Amino acid sequence: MSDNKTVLIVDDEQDIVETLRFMLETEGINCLTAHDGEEALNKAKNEKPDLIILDVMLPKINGYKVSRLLKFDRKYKDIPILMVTARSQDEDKIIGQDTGADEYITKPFDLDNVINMVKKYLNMQ
Amino acid sequence: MSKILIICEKSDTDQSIANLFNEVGYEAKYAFNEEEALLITEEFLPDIALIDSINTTINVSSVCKKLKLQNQANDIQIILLISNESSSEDVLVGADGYITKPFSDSILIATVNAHLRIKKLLDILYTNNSELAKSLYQLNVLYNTSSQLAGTLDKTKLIDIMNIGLEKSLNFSLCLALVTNDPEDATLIINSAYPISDRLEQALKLRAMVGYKSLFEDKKLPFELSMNNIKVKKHYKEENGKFDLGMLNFDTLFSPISTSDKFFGTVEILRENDFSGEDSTCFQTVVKQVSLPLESAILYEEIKKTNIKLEKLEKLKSEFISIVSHELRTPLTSIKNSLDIMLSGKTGDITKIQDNFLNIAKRNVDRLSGIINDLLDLSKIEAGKMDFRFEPLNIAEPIEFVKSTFENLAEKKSIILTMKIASDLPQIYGDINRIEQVLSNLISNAVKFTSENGEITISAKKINASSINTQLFDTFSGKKLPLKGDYVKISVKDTGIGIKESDIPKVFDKFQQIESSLSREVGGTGLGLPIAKQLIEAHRGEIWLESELKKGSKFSFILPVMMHYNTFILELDNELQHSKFNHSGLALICLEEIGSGSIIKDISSEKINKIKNFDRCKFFVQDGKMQIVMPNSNKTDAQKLIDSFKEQILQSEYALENLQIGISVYPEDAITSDELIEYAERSVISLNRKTKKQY
Repeated sequence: MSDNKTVLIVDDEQDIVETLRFMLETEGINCLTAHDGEEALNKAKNEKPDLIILDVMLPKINGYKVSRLLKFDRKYKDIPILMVTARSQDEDKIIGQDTGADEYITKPFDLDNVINMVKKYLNMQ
Repeated sequence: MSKILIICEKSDTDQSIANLFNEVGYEAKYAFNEEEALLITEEFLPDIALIDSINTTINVSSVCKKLKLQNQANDIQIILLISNESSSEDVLVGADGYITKPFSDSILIATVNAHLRIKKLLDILYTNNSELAKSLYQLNVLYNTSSQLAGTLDKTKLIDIMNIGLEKSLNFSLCLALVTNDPEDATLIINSAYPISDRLEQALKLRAMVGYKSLFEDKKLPFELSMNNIKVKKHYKEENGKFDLGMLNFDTLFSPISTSDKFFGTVEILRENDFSGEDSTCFQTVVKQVSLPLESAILYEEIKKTNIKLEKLEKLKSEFISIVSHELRTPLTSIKNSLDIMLSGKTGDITKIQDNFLNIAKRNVDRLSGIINDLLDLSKIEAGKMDFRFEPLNIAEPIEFVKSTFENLAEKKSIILTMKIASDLPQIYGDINRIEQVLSNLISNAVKFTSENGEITISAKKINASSINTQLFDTFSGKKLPLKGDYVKISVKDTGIGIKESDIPKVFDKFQQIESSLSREVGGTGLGLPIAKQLIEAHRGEIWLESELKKGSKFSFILPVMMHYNTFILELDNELQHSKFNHSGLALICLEEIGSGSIIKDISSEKINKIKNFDRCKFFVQDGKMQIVMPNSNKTDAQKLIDSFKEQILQSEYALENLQIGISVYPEDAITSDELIEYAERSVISLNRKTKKQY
């Protein structure tokens, strides 16, 4: 199926990437993965995914920066970004800043919620 | 022995006078001209000079003057021998007494004796006077020293002031101050008139050590000191000259620097001239004076050190919580996700037993993440890091929302969930998320502890402070604020198991598990209620519980109805908390207008926004009153804002004199919101008067 949607999953925790990928793929969604901010930026620009699930605490470039770099670029600003935060003490600060993300998800998240959210943005419901 | 100098020309030499004096036990010498008189006086130091002014070539007037000048300190008595023919010019030359020739031996002796007595009295007077002058000077120095000492909390400065005081009052050659408050921090401060040799420095160090040890002969030393641990600081008054071991023979005064229960060191001064009893008293007084401020200084230093440590610890704690929470959440997410995937059946069929155990695992993961959330919330509130987003709010909104989230759960247990919200409820000023959190906690507790077919009622109504029974929440610890005006009261009442009367006061305490086996059975962290209490108190509300065992519980909380004053005070609370956490200042300006209130209304609506550089301030305006909360500001910032304000008004048609203004600053003036407001309102000044004063 050539019109299959593609989601880029960015998290340095392989386990989280794995579970998300499993659930998305069972929904018939193609998955790309990245484990740091730099890789995420490269894959986002080269592969142009339909949606990005982006963790905040990432090696090299943090998720907050990745999001801003994409959202302030005309070519990529329409890619929806679901930002994942571990509800830490800095949570409010990160959300308070203009990251440009479309949604914020707090760890530990509910997989079904995330899948539903992804489907909503991909117009799959 | 009294000494008498007889000044006469050789021709007149009359040995009989000298003999006469010798007979009564006085020593007498002759001088035959002016030069000789002065020369002999220098060595002989006579008490009395007897000058024969009759038929003499000696310039009597000149001799008198020079003798007096030469013997200023000695107060020599001059007696002139005159005759009946002596002219008044001859007589008025500055002598102290006169004997007219011819005279008898007894008159001569009697006159001389009288003058000796005068001389003696003068001597005593002179000594007393100089002692008095010295005492006065020392007193003056003491006074200056004590007033300087009171003004500083710096240890080194205190020792400097003591040194200066001692030097001025006692003019020492060398002062040895050993200051120590722990063995690692022992300093020997040497203030010397001249540079000291290395040998002397070693000797002085040893001397200070021995002096220190001698104070505690039989007792244990406060600190074990060794020569190598003593740092030496040297100051010289003059560079030209040198002190060597010989100066150790100087007279010395020594004293410990201590208060009744604390020891700070020793001080010793050395001087070539002997010290008197008064000197010793003065020395003791100066040293005593320095002891108390030194104790304060050392305490202050310790407090400062502890404070820095505490600040570091506080930072470490919040970092720790932040890291731990992140590190715990991430693996928890993976566990939860894996369980969800298996439970969804997408990994293949699972048996009923597997499903059961997977559900147990999932339930406990949820519980664990709930505990982490609660812990985080509590630590955030306690650290003053919780950021509240206050806004005007209809309380029905969060109640309806939270109720809807529990409807399913209640239905499963066949619990009737009803809502009784009065129709005339005024708005409150609050953070909707936090109020939802409190409601959610109370309702989930009610659902947990109510058995099947029970009933839970959520009600909300307006209530005046006068009809609130404060005794209901007085039993719970926490900050108590006086109640004022109208409140909205929200209650969650259930028909559950209830709580024993003796346990009621404990429900809002941290980690209190009442009926612990039960609460474990139904889940819960024991932190929900303490958090709820903190959140409600941050809204300047109160929360309490009424309960009867086996009949049910009723949790109630009140929140102040939104009025100008509440919004202002809640924001002030919020900003003040940030200031405290960040160790920054905060200024509060309170403006009040006498009369219509149109100045404040007018300028606040339009022009205030144009005031540059004050965009971080928050303005609250109502009823001819305005409050401005200025985070990160001090008195100068507040004054600047007022000045630009004044300018605006001067350019308008309004009169300044109708406006009164007050400032208070955290932490200088006050440290709580209520104190800040009180201070600002108490110190209100008219803008106009202030302007006049300035010009």
